Amino acid sequence: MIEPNSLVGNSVQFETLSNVWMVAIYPLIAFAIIMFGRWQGFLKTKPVTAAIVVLSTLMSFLHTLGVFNVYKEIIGITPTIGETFHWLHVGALHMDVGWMLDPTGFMMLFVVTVVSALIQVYTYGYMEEDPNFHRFYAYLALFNFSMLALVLAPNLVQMYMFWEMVGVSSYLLIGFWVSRPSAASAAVKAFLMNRVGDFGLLVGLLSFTFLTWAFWSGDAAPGLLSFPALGKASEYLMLHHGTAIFSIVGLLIFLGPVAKSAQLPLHTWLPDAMEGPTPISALIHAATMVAAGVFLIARMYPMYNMPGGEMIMTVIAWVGGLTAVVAATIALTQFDIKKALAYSTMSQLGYMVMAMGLGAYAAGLFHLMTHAFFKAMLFLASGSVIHGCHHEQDMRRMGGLHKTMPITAWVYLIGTIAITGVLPFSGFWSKDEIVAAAFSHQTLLYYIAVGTAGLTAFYMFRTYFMTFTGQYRGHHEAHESPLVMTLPLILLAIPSIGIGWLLSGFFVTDFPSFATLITAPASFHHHAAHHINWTVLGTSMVVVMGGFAAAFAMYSPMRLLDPALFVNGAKPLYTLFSNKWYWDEFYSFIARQVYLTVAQVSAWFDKAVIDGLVGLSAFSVNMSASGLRQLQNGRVQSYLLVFVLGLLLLSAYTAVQWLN
Amino acid sequence: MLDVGLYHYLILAVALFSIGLYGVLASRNAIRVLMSLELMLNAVNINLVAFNNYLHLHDLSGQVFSIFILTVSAAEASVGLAVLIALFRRTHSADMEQYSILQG
Repeated sequence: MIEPNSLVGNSVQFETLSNVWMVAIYPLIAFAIIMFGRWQGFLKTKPVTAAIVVLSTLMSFLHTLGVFNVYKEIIGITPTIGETFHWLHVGALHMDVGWMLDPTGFMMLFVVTVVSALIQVYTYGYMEEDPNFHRFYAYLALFNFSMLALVLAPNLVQMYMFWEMVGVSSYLLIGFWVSRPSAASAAVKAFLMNRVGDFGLLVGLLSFTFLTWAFWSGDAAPGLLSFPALGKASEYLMLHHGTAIFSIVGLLIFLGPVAKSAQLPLHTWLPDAMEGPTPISALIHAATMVAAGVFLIARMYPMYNMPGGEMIMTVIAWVGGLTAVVAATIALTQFDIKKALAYSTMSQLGYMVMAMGLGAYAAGLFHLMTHAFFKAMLFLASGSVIHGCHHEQDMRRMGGLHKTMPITAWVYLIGTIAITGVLPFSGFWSKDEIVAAAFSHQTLLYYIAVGTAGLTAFYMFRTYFMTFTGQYRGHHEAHESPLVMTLPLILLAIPSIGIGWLLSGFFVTDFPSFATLITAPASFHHHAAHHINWTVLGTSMVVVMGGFAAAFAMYSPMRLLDPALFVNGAKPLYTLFSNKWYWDEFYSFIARQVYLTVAQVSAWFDKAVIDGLVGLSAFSVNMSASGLRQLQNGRVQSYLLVFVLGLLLLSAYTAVQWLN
Repeated sequence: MLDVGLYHYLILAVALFSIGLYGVLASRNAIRVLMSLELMLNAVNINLVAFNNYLHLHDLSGQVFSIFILTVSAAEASVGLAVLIALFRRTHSADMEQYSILQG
């Protein structure tokens, strides 16, 4: 039974808007064509394969643009618009599928399609030699489909499905070089760590549904776990079950973002995921998929950001803040350029999550957007370096690449300045808003945020100086990458520089600012329009400059200070940081010692007690059967005798009854 | 001269039935089992005719029913004998003790 059930909207433009699901379908078609046709005819040629996928992403982008032009006219009237169809009826509940659009969703659609398209162009240069070129492009298209569909999902059920789909795509792409054992185990690790988080998410969704069963029941009720009804459902949950249950359910759902966005303590998969090809690190593990966690928090805002949800918000803020600082400290000691960038990603995701937890909805999503551009660019630049240095990832065997790879070096420098948050670049605007939000809410988190900004400046300039300045320390001749790789880098540099001041609403006043476009649903402590807090700005600028100065002193060609001085001076701290705070060791201790001991004990219990009980019951059945078997001797006369005796007994009983 | 009433017939029928039952249960020869079965059926026939004669004078339903039983018993005896012949061909014996192939 299909009956359109529009969430909001009765305008003429609705027809155009309701085709928005096509945005996600183009990549799926591309995936199908390549996956099933890659051995046939002209599809075998690499440019055709790449063109199909890039074209599908461009179609998605253009379609998004077209829909946005229509949507723009009704943005003030109906910020959220969607259409759903009944999919399943479970008792009085009904689950829906469909699409939903709001400014946050549009922002994600634009980021995903733009970054994807550029990375897919870049991939052509990076993966040209690979024998599994076609499969790689097919997976890219599959990921694109999953991610776009996740963004369009109108309820948590549909979102959860695509949430798992992006997880699968991530798994396939991390383990793309299957013949490498490290890639295979990194893929499994990513999958398992995400499984822990996704289990929490699933339990959260199920308990939410169970506890608010009556709310979703009935034909007039909204579709199960649909986002527009989430606020009312959360109020119902709070009213009937109290703050404690409410907080537990909220935090269980938050476990999903914790794993997906690589937050403490489920973060260990992200650095290992760098085993995948670099375009994947840029697309999935920097720009889009890991940001899906932040996006889910944004979608859960009606629940988290209501009176009584303070506990959840505090936990989110602290998880984000701690992740930011812990990841930054680890990044200080990394020598693998991609690992350093991975920890940087984790740290920036920590910023976003912290912003969400502080109620700075727009700031967190703004940072998501700017970060997607400059971090994708940084990763692609690092890929260009790796490509140019013949698959060398260790920064100790790089250096002086500014001469041989000028484009890459300039782009990397732009990215570095953007991520450290120097004034005109995009990272400044978003990070400043987060730091300002921390300043007005939580002093300790403010210090963490500012300190992390200093650390960020240090480790990012450290990677820059080690890679691009000084003397070349490698063995092979380095070379600049072809245009197909450098062009996406240059194109990504444009938003990395400009999108911050364009959308901050500070310089360009005739364009709507990000904070006015993207507003939190049902925000109770709403932030006033953005105005620069000069104290915060000054402090963070000084700290960033300090980080830059330290990196310059230690790693620039002048070598004013020897890094070994600090390494030896703070030996315990350095050991802690370079061993990634021993999280991996902690997990393998849990797995090897605790889990294995429990497993052995339960194996013994199973063999001795459970199997013993099963054996006993089988034995007793066997014994009683061999006793009872004697009765069935096959002689009709003895059966008849029993029958007659029974008849006599019955007659005697009846006679006695009758006589009485 | 003894006055013969319903009770005499009934006692005769019970005696005949019991003898037949004993024969069915205790005989080792399969032919004797079949013959005893006939005795039991005839005991019932005597019952029916006696009750009809003494208690239900206005019609003959008991006697008609006994005719039916005679017919059925003839059919039963022929089927029984046929089974018996088949069994005899298989085991070369008419001993009931040998017919225990239904044993579990």
